[in-house]
Amino acid sequence: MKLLDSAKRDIKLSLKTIRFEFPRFLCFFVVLFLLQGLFCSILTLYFNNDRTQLDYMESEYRAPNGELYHLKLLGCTETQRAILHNFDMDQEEEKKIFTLLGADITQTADGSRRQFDLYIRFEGDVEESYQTFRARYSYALSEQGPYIEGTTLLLSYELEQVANRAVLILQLTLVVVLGALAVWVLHSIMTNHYKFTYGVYMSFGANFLRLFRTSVWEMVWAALFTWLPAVSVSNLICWLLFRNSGLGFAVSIGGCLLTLLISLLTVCISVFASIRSVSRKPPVKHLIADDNSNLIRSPRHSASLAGSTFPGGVGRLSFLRFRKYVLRLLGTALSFAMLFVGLITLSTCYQRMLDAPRPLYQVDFAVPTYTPPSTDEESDSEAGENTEAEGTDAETDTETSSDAETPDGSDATSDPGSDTEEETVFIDYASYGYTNEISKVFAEMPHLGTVLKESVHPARALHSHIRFDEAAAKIGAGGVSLSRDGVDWRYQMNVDYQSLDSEIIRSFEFLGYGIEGSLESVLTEPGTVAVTDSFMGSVQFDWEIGDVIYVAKVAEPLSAAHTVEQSMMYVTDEDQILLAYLKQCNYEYTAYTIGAIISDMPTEDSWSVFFNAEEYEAVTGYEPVYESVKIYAKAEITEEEEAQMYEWLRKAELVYDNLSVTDLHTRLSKQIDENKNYSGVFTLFAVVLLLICAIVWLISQILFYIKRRGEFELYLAIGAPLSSIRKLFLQDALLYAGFGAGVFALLAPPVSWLIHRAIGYVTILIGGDMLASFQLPIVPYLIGIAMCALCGFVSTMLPYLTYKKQGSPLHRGPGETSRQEETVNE
Amino acid sequence: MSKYILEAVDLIRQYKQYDSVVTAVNHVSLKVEDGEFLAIMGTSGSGKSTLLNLLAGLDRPNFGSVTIRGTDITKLSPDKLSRFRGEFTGVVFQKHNLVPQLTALENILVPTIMCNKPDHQFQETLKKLILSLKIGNRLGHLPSELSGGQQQRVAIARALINRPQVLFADEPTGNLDRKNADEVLELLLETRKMLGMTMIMVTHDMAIADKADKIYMMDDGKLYLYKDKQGYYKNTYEVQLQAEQEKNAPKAREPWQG
Repeated sequence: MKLLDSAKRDIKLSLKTIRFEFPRFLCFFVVLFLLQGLFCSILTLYFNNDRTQLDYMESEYRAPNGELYHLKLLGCTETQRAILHNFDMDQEEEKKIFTLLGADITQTADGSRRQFDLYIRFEGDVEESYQTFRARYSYALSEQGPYIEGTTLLLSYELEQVANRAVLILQLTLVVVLGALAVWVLHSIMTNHYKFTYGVYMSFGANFLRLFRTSVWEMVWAALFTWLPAVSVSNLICWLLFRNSGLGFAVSIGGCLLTLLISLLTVCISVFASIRSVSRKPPVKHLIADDNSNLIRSPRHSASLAGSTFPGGVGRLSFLRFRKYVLRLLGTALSFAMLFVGLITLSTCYQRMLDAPRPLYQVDFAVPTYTPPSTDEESDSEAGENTEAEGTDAETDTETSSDAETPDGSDATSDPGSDTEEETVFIDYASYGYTNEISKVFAEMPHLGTVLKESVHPARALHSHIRFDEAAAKIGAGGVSLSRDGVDWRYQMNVDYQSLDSEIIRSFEFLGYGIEGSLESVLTEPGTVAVTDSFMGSVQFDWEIGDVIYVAKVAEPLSAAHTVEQSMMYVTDEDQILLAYLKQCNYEYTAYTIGAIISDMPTEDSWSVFFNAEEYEAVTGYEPVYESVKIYAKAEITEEEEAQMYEWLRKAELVYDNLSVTDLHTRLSKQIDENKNYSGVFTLFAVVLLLICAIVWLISQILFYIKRRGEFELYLAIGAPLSSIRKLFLQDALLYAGFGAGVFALLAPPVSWLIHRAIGYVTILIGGDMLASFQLPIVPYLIGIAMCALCGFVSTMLPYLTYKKQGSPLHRGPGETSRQEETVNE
Repeated sequence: MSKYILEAVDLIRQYKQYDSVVTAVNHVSLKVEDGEFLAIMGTSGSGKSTLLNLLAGLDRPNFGSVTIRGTDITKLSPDKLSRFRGEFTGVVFQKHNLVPQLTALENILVPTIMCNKPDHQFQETLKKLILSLKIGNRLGHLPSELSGGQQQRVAIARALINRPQVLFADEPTGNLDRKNADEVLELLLETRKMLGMTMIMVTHDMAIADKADKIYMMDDGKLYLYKDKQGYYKNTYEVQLQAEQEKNAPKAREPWQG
């Protein structure tokens, strides 16, 4: 009852305050309208995308019996169907991992036999069931002949949902933090200007909680009043977005309610922070502040007016006099403006990634009849080091590729070309993989854009590393810095050695990677390499064409390297491992000149050095082998043309025993990514921040000059004409505009770069992709500069115009009254 | 239990002003008995308002303590101190300090709202105050619609609504003309008597101070007793002489100087 009574009083008091001083609350209404619009847009897009994504999949992945399927086995024989049917029947009901849903029956191309496309649904944890299915049944099925395994996106739907939810939470957290920051800044400006009221409340017993409750209700009303208009506008925008994409749209009631909850949380956080600082001070400070607010700040400064020119010197002086305020205002407003540019940078970056070509299919090559030697246990243990061991298809393929790609590390390094070992452990690399012959066949594929192939050896697996001039490493590039022979070197082990040929060069050109220098020089000039300039989503090196890097090869005795490898088995810090190698092993360094620098190549935590085939073999001890390639289609391919490509690949799969195709469902996943509209959300968010910047500037300055009215009255009283006051304002306006635009122009690029770098790092860390190269969006940057200049000028001149309009008693004629006085008299 | 409702010991309050330090309250000690009316006089800038703020817990001293009803308020956290002010003290400011957006009645009720007091706890007092301060017909008006005298009556009612044990008044009649000042003072004293509370008042006016049980003089941050309970008046010369002697005496090391 007491609580209810108290709440009633709070509500009454807050409503009264809002009604009485509506203009000062106007900024909160605007900001909360914008923030709630943003919250609601993010949530509405999320809920609608979630629904659309499921709709897409449900329409795409339906078995003949109408049920959803997770896996499709294409081109199976009658025996394979029977085997799978028996497996299905043999499962215990409670331990069932899959259900055979049905089959499409067709004739083979030559019409010799019937073939079956089998549809399978996994039960329980679908990902786990899929893995169990492969482990249990793939071998038995592949023994009966080749077939194509095609997983659907439904298999990873739950994981995708978790990822989407994580992104949503990240987005919302970012918006809540920045929104709370904006409301906090505005609330702090307001409490600072109206702290007298808080001083009175505190004098009569108001503690922090009491002040918080009084203030938070004011903000709650602002949030409640703006909620409905904000969610309406936001839903309208989302509806337009979805309508333009030809998708169905549904208003999310949950999203609207969640918007309100989040905005209430935001105002609570900001009011908490602002009132906390008010309540820490003794009330007398708040009361005295009001008493002196209309006076020139100090007698000393007042006295110094006499020696200054008016209004020029006084104006400049006031900029200095209120330097704390000026710094705080510029700091706050410009932070929002810089975030605007930072977010537009991210939005552009995301859009570039979305527009980049994506592979449609992955083709894996392996030797189908290879049996691993039973005595070679180490090769299994080292399978983890192998980046190429994908083995996505039949069990035999996986085993073969693992063994092919995981030669015994120690033997391989000691003597990879040893004849005896090749007979017992190694297979003939040239006999499989994406060879030149297959490449010629693949070139016939209809609508082909490019085939991207990779042959990679991580430096760490070879106990190798790269050494280069310390000056080429940017801050944060990591690695080990050592000074040897009077030169400062940077050593790095997170390097992949890759092979390069003319086909790969064509692929890089197709994919639009930034290339400086000539990739052909790597093929034609001995001792020349190409390097990437980034990892962890950021540009980490400052390479120049002609720079020299040194590739380390561990020298005899090799036992030292094995000792380090063993002792560092559980150490995760690569730099620590590298340091141990450098301390305990001898290395021979071979110099390579950088002939080309590749930027914007997707990387994770390592960068790459590209060698021609001979150099690659010399460095790694292996010929280049391409076990897996990615197929890209030409731009703007239709669904029909895509089907033709797939059909062509299916045929190729039947012709070549050691080839298996995986559909990457690119069309669907790209459509889903486009519908997520992250780039639109970022842009919207950026625009909101720019508007908040303008609001902060306007509100601050208006309140600031209201407080200084007494000072202007004094100038008028001692003989200054109104034109001088106008000049004073004009001078202030130009100073604010100049400083604002100048500081923004200087700071926005580094701040945007930092934001890009930080987001890139986090994105790579959580397994996403990020373009490493930073491009400052010029138009938003110029808009930011113009906005800062405009805000600085307008926010200063506006109070002058109001001042002039309302009129001072000192520049009114006899008998004239101000509008305010007239209103009071009425 | 101590017979003193308020005890201030060795209070020091300093302000930093550019490069120099101004000592507004300099080693002030004071004891106030329950129900006593105490007046503090002094010239402008002598530090009397600062002292009152320290005693009322509106400001914090650099050194020394203020104990009200056995609680050392200088050691309380800001939150607890606020709550303490609401429960035990009332303040009347020279400039009224009414909240402009609230009506006279709402301004009077500010302390009850801030202390979450239920209606029944203050209704009786409210009626008495409205009656005795003669503001019944102005309750619905905003401060800007009230005269200076009316505003101060509202401020007095606000200070007394929670029935504080100690009332602090900082030149409550300083902004009023003689007629209004006399009226307001009379009402203040009557109400104090009615509610039986201790009052500490800062004033310039000897006529007002004359009505106090004790008068203290403040000069350059120091506090001297001018009139005690028995009615003994130290003559002005004695006070000034004492002040001069204090000024010329060799300075002891300040407590904060270690």
